[in-house]
Amino acid sequence: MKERPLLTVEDLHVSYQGRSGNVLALRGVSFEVHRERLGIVGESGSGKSTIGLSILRLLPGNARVSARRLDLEGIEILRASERTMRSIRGRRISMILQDPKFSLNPVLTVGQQIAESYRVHTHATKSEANRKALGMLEAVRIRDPERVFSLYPHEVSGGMGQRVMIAMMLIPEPELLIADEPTSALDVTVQAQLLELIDELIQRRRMGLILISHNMNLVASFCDRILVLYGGQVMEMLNAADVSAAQHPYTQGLLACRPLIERPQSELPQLKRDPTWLGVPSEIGVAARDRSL
Amino acid sequence: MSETPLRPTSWHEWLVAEAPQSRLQARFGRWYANWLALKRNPLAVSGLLIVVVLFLMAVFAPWMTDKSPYDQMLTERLQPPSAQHWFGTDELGRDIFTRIIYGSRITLLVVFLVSAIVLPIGLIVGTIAGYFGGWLDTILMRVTDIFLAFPRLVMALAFAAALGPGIENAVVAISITAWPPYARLARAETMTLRGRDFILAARMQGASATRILWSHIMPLCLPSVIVRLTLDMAGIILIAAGLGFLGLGAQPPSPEWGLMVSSGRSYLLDQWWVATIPGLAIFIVSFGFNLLGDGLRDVFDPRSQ
Amino acid sequence: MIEVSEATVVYGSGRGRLEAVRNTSFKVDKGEVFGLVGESGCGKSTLLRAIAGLAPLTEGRITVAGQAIGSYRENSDRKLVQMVFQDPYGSLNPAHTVDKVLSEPAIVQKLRSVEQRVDRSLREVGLGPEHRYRYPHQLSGGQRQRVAIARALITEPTVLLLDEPTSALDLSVQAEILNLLKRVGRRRNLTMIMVSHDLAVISHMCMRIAVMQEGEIVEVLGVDKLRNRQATHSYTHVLLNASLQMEERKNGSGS
Repeated sequence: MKERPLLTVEDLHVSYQGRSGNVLALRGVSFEVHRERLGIVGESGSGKSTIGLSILRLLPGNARVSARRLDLEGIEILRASERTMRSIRGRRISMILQDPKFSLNPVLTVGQQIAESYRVHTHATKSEANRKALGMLEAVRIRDPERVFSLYPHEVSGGMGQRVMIAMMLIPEPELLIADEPTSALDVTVQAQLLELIDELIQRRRMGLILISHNMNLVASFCDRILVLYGGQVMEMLNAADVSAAQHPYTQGLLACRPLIERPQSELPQLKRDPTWLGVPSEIGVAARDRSL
Repeated sequence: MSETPLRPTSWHEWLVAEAPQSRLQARFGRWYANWLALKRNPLAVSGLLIVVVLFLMAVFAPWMTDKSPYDQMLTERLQPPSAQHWFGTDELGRDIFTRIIYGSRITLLVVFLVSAIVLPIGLIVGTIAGYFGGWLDTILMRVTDIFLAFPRLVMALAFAAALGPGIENAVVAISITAWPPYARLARAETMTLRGRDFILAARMQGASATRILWSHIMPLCLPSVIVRLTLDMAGIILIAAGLGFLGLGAQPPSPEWGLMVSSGRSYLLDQWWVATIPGLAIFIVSFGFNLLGDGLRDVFDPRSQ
Repeated sequence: MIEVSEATVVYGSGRGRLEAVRNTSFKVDKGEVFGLVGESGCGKSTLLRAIAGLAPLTEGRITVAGQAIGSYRENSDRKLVQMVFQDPYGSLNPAHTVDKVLSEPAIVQKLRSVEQRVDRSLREVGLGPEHRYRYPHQLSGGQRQRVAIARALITEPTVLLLDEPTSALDLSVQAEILNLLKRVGRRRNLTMIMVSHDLAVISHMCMRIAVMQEGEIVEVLGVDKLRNRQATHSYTHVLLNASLQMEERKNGSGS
């Protein structure tokens, strides 16, 4: 793949300054994203959500970010002005979050929000934006888009709410989509449909996708490449197809401790955390990353 | 062999220990953590300081001044502040500094009495209404509404008319109209809490409603009620002073600050200190409670963890 | 041990009427681990709470060890059925230390040697004396859930109800807690009913599984049948397929 990467991250460090000291959220994370599906998997406290927010520079005021490189096709994100960032957010990189209940504005109708998302980036007229919004509702496979257009967020189900989020975030036609636990609040049958939808949309538009999740199964079955995060560091980077041949003990441990329908066990193997995993990024991880590029 | 616990090298370490060894250590550790959080807020600390000074003034009054608040020296009427009389003298030659100091006792009395009445009543009514719901809730809330409808000052006037003026009756009058918001607050909190899993767990264990209310719900309602009370305290002190001003609260020759402002009214232009200094005292103490209340609110409901 | 017959739970009336659980029936034998699986809103949690005595039965009957729920004569009957809840952050009173959380049920049920009981139950769930006087905010999610399990076990129940006990936990912590539950269940010969939306967790823990959809039980089957895709109801297949889709690549190029 000699194509230039969409997003390059090199040695990203993020810390939060608290009253009782600094919390290191990310400690030297590096990766690239092409027009592919990259999954970032980690448990709570691994820093996975921080990655998404750092890319969009949406971290709270007490966060300190530094990186050797953090650029979107040449634009250095950490040095960009706020104005440049505003033109990037939504227009070139979009983000969908876990719970539409919290990410949708409760006092605007669904259609109004999608249309607004369009107008913010294109200065289109109201009627034009509304038309586009309707088109987008169809694209996310919502039946009866006219009716759904005038519904309020609390009137739509979780799965539909996420579709609305997707519509809102994809209408400005970004190149990269960051999805932070997009299906965690949804039922398993709805999850599959939503992932299919995301897949279709990003394939059609040749977008890149960063899927952040705690669910190893999800990431392994949906993404092309997987980045395993632990304690703010990359443990391993591998192709999803090779996930069963994972090298790093943390990845292996995570895979092993899943209960699986097709593999009955009396006791689940427990993950033994090795403190030596944190420190210098493991050589295995770095080598794997280089291999998969 | 049984191991002797290691002696902590300081109180601080004992209090912030990650693994407390006893109930006492856990409880004190918690209070200490709250104290540390409060300490970070300089305004809250000033408020606390003011309240503490008020308390100390009341307790150590006889040590702070050798004069009596009632001694009249008619030859020294309306003297401006001087080395002999730090805050000057009033229209009957009494030392204002001494009267301020002894007046703090009355202020403190008001604070304690009102709290002692309002807190239990509000908590009990609110938690019972919130927990049981149904007709009990309706009845209790309507009763609360009735008391809420009375304006405090009018109520105090009515009490004064019925029972005669005096600081105790004024306190009762204030308390009777002050408790409803606390009942409301406690009820709102209780309603949020009653569906929580730990309450369900307690029910499944066979805990009686009384135990659930006393052991689970009330301790969780306390922080917001205390914050509210501290913030209200400013208003309560002002009302007590206002009643004193109107002649319905403390009676002469009591050194109650509101009364002092009232009797110093006529001398405001030429002998400003007679009315202004007690007025300042009222202001500072109310403000102090306000700052403390704000600080406590931040400690108990931190917005940023 | 547990018998549910035609249990129905209805909330509200008129236009706001919600039939959360409709005419469900099943039996659970002593020592069995029974699973209730379904998607959100299917009524599984409501049904579990009805068995716990926390949700009112509109119709039907539930008996535990022969005694009908809701007709407990003495408080001591209550200690036989205990529950572990989903949210480790909400299932412990933030103002109580672990010690208080564990001693309360023992005190309420007037059990003897409270101190020793608390000590024993802490060790049983893999915690130690250093956790005893901590407050919930000083514990991790997994530790809180252990405390919740200890609390449920301290009254020596015969039935343990589990409402999505690991849904809010990390994968690695989930493995530890599931192992703990299995261990404890075996050792005490507990009858357990577990509710989850995660078919993998349910099939790991349970021997028989009831699949619920929109308030009704559409099928009850043994875990082996489920694994061999011998389910009879179409919805079970839908659930199974959706769950398996996620497991697809576990062994590399599909299995």
